[in-house]
Amino acid sequence: MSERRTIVQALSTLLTNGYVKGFVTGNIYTGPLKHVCVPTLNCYSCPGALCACPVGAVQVVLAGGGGFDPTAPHTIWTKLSGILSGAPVFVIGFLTLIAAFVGRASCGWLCPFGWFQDLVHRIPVPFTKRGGGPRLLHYLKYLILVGMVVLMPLFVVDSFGFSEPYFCKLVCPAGTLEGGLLLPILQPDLRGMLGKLFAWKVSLLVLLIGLMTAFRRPFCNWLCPLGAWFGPFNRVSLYRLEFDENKCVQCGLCVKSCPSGLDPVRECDSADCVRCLDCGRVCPKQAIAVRGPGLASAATPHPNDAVPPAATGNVH
Amino acid sequence: MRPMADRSIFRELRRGAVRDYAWLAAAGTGAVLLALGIALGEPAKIFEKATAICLQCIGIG
Repeated sequence: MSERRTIVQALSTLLTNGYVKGFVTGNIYTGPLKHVCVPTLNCYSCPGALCACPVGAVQVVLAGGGGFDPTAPHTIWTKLSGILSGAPVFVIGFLTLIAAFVGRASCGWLCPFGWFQDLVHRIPVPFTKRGGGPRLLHYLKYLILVGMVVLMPLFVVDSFGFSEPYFCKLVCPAGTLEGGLLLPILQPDLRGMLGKLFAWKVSLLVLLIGLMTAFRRPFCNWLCPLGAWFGPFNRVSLYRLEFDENKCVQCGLCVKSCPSGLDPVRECDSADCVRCLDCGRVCPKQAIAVRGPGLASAATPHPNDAVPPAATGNVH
Repeated sequence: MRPMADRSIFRELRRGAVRDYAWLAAAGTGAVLLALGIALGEPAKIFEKATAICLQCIGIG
């Protein structure tokens, strides 16, 4: 893990959660910055959060019913017209704009929960650390994006036509970590309201932390709906990774460095790549490079231009 | 009729061009949607929700 990226991740976490007063009083920030989203998963109920979470924002706009008339008959047509007038175009536009330029880079460089996973993965454990986990699980995040972030807030509604942010409610471990654990500590009144749902969310967070020690970024790889949206843009974004097979000496250093557990030689434009650029940094031959305007060559080159002695095994 | 090799080169070029300029289409679409969202007052909806503690988000409700 590069020091430069760690510093950027730490700064981003501090900036997006820079409302220090909230951590003292337990009251969340209510200023004008909450009109906009950050390009990362950061719960807006975190006492320090300065901006809104895009995944939460998409759900509340959809769940709010938009232009849906609750008094009209619940037909597919009335629902569809409601969707069109109440679609979260601002958030989708913002996320698409970011992804068009840098793909999934905000996951690798800015996301506080991504950083948390990187840090937990560094904890030494008595068993062998693994990569990104079973391939099938990587598709789960697309199901979550479509099912829990879009369809459930739209179609699982109460009698008034309103719904809930189901991903936040049932899954989001960032919300549990940043808001669910902190707010009841800071606001004693909330403690009496904790029940089965809280127990479920804390259990899920604990399970994920356990998995983070063994696997690389299990939440990003398997569950994150934001990563599911950004991921496909990796292939076409303005700045993207390119692999030069003529330079590759198959040392395997890129595979060892990848925080998503990918093989950058074969999957350098994978939707699971978080664009951390660690593979390009450790590559002794600069075979993996960022391509884009203003960039003549690769990511930061390795200080030694020779293959390190430890990297003689052929892993491909 | 072009020979097979020519056609595959053209196909590759077309694929490369699509890949090289797809970001522009995505960025344009993103910018339009962003502006549309602002015009429709979506940030106000987000503000309204994001300035109250989301009980579901923290595991209550």
